[in-house]
Amino acid sequence: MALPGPALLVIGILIDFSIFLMVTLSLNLEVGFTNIPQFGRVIAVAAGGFTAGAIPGRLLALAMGLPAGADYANDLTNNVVVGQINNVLGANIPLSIAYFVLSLVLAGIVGGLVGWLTSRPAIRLREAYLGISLLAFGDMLVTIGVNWQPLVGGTLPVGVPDPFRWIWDARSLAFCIVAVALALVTLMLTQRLTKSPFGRTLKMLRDNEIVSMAFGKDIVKVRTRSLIIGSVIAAVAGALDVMYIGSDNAAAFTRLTWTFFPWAYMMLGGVGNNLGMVAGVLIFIVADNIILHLSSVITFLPFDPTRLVNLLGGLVIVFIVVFWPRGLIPEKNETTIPKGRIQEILKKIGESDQKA
Amino acid sequence: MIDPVWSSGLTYASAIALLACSVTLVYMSTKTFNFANASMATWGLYIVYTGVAFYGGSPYQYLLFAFLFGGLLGTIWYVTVNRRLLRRGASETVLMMSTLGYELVLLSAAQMYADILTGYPFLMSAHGLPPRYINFEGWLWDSVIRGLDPLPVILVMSGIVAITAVLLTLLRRKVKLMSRTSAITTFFLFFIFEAAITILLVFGTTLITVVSLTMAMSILVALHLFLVKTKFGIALRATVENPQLADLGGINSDRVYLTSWIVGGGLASLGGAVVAFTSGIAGPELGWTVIVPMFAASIVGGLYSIYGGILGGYVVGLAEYLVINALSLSLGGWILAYRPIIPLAIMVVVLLFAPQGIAGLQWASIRKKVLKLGKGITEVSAENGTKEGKIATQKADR
Repeated sequence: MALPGPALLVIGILIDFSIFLMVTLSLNLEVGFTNIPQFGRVIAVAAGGFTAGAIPGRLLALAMGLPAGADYANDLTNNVVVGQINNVLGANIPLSIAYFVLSLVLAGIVGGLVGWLTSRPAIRLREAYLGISLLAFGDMLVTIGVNWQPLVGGTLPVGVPDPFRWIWDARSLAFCIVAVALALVTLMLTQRLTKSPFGRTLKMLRDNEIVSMAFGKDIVKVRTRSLIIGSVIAAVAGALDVMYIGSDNAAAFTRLTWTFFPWAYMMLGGVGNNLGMVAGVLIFIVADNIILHLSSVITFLPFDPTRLVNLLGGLVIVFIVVFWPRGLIPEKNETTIPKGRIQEILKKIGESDQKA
Repeated sequence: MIDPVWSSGLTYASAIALLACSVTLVYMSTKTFNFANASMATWGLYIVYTGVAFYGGSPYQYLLFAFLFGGLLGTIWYVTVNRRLLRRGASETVLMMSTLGYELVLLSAAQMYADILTGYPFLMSAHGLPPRYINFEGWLWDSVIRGLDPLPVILVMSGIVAITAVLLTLLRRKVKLMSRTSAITTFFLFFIFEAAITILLVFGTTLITVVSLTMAMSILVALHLFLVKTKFGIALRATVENPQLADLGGINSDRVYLTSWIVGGGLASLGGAVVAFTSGIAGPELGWTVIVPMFAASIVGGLYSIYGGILGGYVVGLAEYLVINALSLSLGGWILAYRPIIPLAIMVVVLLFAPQGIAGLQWASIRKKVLKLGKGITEVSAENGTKEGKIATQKADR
């Protein structure tokens, strides 16, 4: 079934939206709730992407008796190997699904590990020092990915076996459904997390560290846990992105796309509010797509229209910081028990007052 | 001819020193960690490029304009956004994030500028400088100083050093301008600088190396004199240390912050123009590539000291070139691609052992610890681990 043009556009937007929503939610958890200047979001995303590109494909190749070592990432070998794997996956639906799930799980595990590693500097460093350290770590990881050929092919990206080869015609649609589902699951997960005791501990530590520590909250453990969870989510998003594109280009994990723009989405949406993330990401992704598609219509622009996307991002950050620092949907004050229960209690108190 | 690694290394280090100094200056006074430094550097490059491409001449002529344009960029940011945020009492993270927005705006502006210029083919044919892949190598190698005759150079340099010594002594004795320690320190630093320049001139190097070194050193001296000897500089230092008290003392903090942004922006653009000489090929993403070394250098030097910024810049810049060169000779050429890891490694080491940076090191307490350690070692070896010796060592440690 060939999908009509506009439908493909919407599907593309939805997939972008889902992936970036997951990344932005993870960033919100770390920045909005734990107050860590996470300028290294790209670390977890790249870790997930590299895992998805490097490991599951090699496992399948091993099982099929194809080269799975350093030459798996060799451009010429890789084309042949991944082609053969794709043929097998296309015919075997359970295997495809298992491969997909395995990729995401592995990416999550590596993401958690990376999150733990990035929490080590976060113990002692604060503010600017921590932010720059994380930024530099991200740079380092991507440099390794781009230059160490056996990982994901370096400058000639390695191909990634396609988990949806069996629905070749409606592959985008299938990806869209799965991505949106994952994004919704992440949203529900982060909402529950932030409304849980753990979330309240995070907010308490963020708002008044000394008082919280006097109450016995272990800031190191809490920050570590938050970083691990955030990194897991981001890594899964990275793996998803890589599998959608079909090739693992290490150079595509730029600071701009995966750290700084998610910060812009988060600030627009409202730092500290998960639903705000939905608004922020959606507005930006739609605006970006509008710009990119209008540019093919308006041809008199003397410059590349992607420049306008950067400009928009910058202007939005500046205007939000100056005029709307709390974002579109500001952080809500969460009550400990649900509002409905509070109403019941108030009613009961009112009744007992009347009786007395 | 001096090994090109040293030539390029010193130029690169001077550029990073200027950039780090600008980051530190702005952070010191306004607590804003300036992400937009990267694109201010890029715009410095593009001002020099515009001058050379449209008006001809050598790039060195336009360095002053680069400085002025950088100052303009800094002023714009301070007047529109930074002042508001400072008055509001915004946190450091918010200040940092706002400069990220400015960085993206300037980056897209530079990219658009390069795109527009690409539509003018005369730029490429006349000067061989495509706007997105600017390569100043032509000027770099045209203006090489081939090894000058040692004797006249050494005589001239010794003369300059002697005159400086006499001047310093006169200033100290007659005018009582500085204490004996600072006179000695100044003379010592000046001597090292002159020795370096002499070596460079005698053995031959590129003009940009000498120019950038001289520029960095003179800016360091100028900043030092400004901060220590002028009323406004002292006002700036007072505002850095305690803004409220400075306000009470009648210091106009607005002017202080504005000045630091102007100077910071100017230095950033200057540094960017110089970096372009070493990068080989530079484009709108120039700032983006120096962002990590620049920030690492300012952190290594210590975020509250300008001298630390410059020193950190030299440490990180030289280490990048020299360490990678040494490693590539023993391990092979593949390691050259991992150059960006060096600033990170240095930063990690410094943050582990000296979180306040090099300038924040407390030399007095370090000296005490080293002396105590030395005393403990000598006592143990003298007493040969007898009981009295052990008790004596314990007493000394306490």
